[in-house]
Amino acid sequence: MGLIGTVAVGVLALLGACGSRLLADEFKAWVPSVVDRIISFAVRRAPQHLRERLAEEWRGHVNDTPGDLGKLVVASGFIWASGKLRNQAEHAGIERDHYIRELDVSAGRLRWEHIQRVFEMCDRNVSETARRLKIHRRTLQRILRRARL
Amino acid sequence: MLEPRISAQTLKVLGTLLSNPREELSGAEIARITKLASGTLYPILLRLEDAGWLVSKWEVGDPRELGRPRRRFYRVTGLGAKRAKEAIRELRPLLGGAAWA
Repeated sequence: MGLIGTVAVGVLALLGACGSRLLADEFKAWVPSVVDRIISFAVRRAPQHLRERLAEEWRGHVNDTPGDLGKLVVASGFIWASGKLRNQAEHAGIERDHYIRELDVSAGRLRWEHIQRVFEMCDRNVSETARRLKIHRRTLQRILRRARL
Repeated sequence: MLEPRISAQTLKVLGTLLSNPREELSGAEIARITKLASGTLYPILLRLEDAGWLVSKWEVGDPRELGRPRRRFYRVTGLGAKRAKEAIRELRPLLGGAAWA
């Protein structure tokens, strides 16, 4: 019984060693393809204008990372990074839109203040004001009507 | 251009770039030095680049000739160095004094 048990343990150990070796080889063979798929997925999630750059940069980063497991961990991190980059881009877009709206409002206000100044300077004479502003009289009338002056 | 949010990780990245004598570092090198995860590092790098605190450029060479993808190198700009030093000065008491400050 003791001998049989020893042999069984030996056989199991041998099978385990072979199996783990096979698994390790299999893992090694699959890693490059899995890493590449993960990077491709992460890049697709990133903002459009950064995709080409990140695809090469991230592959370069993984290439410089030692160890298969390390490469997998780094590549998985890019999925997280791409989500954050997308959020950043959306946030920047909202900020930019807000800034442009503010600029529009400021430009409109400046234009309106200038029209008012010239209008008062011309003793509220529409034709004279339009001539000085180099706009059509009807355009000026429309602007003034809208402002109820 | 939006001012980037200054976090401990952001300062780590800036400090690493500022204290590096070669001045230019790739993302992988920065990750190795700062021990930041790739998921944290790249949003920081791109945010700092958007704000004009960093500039980046591709490694010279053709990927086919190099036999690998090109690296992208990051460098702190004058503005980035100035702002980073200001932020480090302000936050030094909280950080407990950093070597690169």
